[in-house]
Amino acid sequence: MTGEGRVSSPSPPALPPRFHLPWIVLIVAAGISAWVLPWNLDHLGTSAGWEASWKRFGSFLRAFSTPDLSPDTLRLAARLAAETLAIAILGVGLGLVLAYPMAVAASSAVLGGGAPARGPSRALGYVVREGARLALDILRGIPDFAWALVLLTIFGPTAVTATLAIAVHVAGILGKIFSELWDSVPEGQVEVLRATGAGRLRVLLYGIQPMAGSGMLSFLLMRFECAVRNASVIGAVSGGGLGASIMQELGYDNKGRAVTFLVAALMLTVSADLLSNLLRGLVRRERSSSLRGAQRRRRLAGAAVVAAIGLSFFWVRQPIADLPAELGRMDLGYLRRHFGQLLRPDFSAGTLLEALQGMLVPLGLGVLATLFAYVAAACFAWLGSATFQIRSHAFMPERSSRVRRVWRLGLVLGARTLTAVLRGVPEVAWVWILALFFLTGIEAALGALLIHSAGVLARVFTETVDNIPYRRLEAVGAPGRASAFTHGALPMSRADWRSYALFQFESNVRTGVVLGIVGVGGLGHLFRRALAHRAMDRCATFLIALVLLTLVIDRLSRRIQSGPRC
Amino acid sequence: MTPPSARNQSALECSGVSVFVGQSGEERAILRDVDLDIQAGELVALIGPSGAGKTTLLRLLGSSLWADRGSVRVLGAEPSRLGARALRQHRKRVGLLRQQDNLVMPLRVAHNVQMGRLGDWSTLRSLWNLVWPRQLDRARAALGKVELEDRLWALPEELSGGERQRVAIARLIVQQPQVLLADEPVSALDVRLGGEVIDLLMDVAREQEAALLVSLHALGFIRRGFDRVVAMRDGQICWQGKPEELDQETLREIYGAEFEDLE
Repeated sequence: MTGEGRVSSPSPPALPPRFHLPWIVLIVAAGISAWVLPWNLDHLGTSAGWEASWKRFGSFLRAFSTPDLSPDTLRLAARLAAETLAIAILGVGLGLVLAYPMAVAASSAVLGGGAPARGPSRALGYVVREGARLALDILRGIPDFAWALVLLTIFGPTAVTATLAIAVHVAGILGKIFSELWDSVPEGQVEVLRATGAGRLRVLLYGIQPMAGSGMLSFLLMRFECAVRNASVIGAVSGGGLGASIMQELGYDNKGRAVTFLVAALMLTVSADLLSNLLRGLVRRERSSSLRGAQRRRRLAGAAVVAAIGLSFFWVRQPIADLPAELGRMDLGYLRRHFGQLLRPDFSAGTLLEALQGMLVPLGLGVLATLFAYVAAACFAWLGSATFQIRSHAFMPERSSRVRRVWRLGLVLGARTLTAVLRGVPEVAWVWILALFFLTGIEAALGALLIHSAGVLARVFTETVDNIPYRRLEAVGAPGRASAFTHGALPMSRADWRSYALFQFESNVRTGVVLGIVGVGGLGHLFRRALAHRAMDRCATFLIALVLLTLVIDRLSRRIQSGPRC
Repeated sequence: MTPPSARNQSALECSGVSVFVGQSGEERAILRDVDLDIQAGELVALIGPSGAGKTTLLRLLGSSLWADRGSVRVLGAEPSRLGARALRQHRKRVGLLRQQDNLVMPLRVAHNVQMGRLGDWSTLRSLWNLVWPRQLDRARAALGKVELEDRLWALPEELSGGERQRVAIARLIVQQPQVLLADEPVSALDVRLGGEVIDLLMDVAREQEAALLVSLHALGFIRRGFDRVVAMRDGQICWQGKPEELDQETLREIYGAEFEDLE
């Protein structure tokens, strides 16, 4: 590591030897991943196939210069964007309502806090807590696209299916995170509250929740951003929103319209990012504001939330109004038989082997995409860092001409805009775009995950680099900006970057399953095919594999995070 | 002074109480055979060197911890034998003040003071009060007694350390407990502010005829009107008596090597 006192160190300090080990493990993992993934590049092997791919992709790129901007299409895009936003708002809202009681049951601080319980109440508390945690793991472990497929058979291809699929998955995620945030509040900080004779829920309301409140809100906003991104593509499976129409227009080869809808989806996700940043800022200000200002802001936020939920119901009023008739047509006996089989999973050797092979695809995709995205994001962090491109004179003697300063400012803006677009377009939409060249398969999936992850990681990597105090970079005593970056910023950011990359790896494995559902193969594809063939016993096996995959990755990443830092 | 009638009832009773920590076989006693009897309305200071077991004794009496041996009776009840609901009802009658973490920082002073009533309120009413605070008269009156009525809507982070402790005392006034337990409530304050907080605590205890047990690190406060001083060392009560009976020699025995630092 670089020492604070080494101001005039002539050569950059050497990296500790342990630095290399995780990289070796990663490279081996990447090699195995590349070996197990079912690549299919045959169509690019012939010149005719190569040309056809370029032609398809070229015509799509040309459509960007000639999008369909007719008033009808624009009106439809606006309506679909509103419906997509409504799906996300109602999905997160309903997910929050479902998550809260489950988080209460799963939290040891809420249910088990206070004086140590004894006897039967202790055993009952354990059963309730572990039961709730298992339920949350199942809801969270099955991706929203898989929930959409299951719910589709009940509610049909409408916005209601998309909303419920997002709600169920979000409930699992929020429930887990809320209970963990509550459990991280030190018991000592609520001991005086328990001493007032307040019951568990009152201790939660007046003590635990206010203390965990900012973390909960921050995570809720992050899930809202994700929900908007997912809502814009989930329609491809569940119906409703922009996703269904993009898929339909691509199917009809209406590239102009598809591009218009894709741009609408991008604008929607970028707006959701900006909105949640604005809300975060408002909340931060409220902590130190006057009572009157805080009350005014809280009323405004409350009114905005109520208005957003009201408008969302308005936008999906038609599918909601059709719901009773849709449910009335349902054959309950058939559904009971159909879903009853989910309780009898197929544990035959063939299905288990298939599930195991299926799990390797999202895992392999996760490893490769995260590794390449890490390298790409590190490059973007250099290009987009205000510290190194614009303010480097603050920590090293440097004089640059006006032209060079303008060039570097352009680099920062360019890198940040590009990465915003990369993460703004959902992974599923990237698959649709890349499938025009590679056809729908592993290659398109890897490209989609890599592009999106590079965009996500670039933002957090850049923020980490820009948060390093100048005096620490000054202490490195590097002769130039590049060496200050590689021998100062990189070692200082490495621990944070690793945490972010692990988190992204988890997300990539889960998304790898989702991409399987949209056709790239692996566990998601196996599940969809089994569902299409009404083989519910096999569906149950694949769902169990999905939950296990999520749990293993989750526990593994937690162990790595808490282990020694490389 | 406390009326003589209240004095005849035991508020806090410990009989042969021990608490152990560590794995079985390698257990270490942090409280050993403690016997203690504090009457209703009695004002008692608890002293002793670091690690003597003062905090453990207070946590035991505050029902945050159960004894491994012996019996603990608070206001006539044995808390470890109470069911969850009865324990909550019991806790309402026992007020707690600590050195820190007395206030919930993200909530305003009004809510922090009103927390004293949570034991009486239903969950729904508590939730409604959080959104729309009502019936603030008691909170205002309690803050008036600790001379902070103008800080009703302040955030705790805007208050000084002494003011925070006074807000916590205002919550105790609202709670109206019959026993007050305070664990080094003035350790983080200077002598003047610490004296004010101790005086306030005594006033509250006298007004409510409550038993008061305060652990103190600084010995200067024990002559501010306590009825009795209880001294602990190595998990045991090693001396008790009137404050004026506590001489230098006894203090030297209680504190050992730490005595020089205290002086």
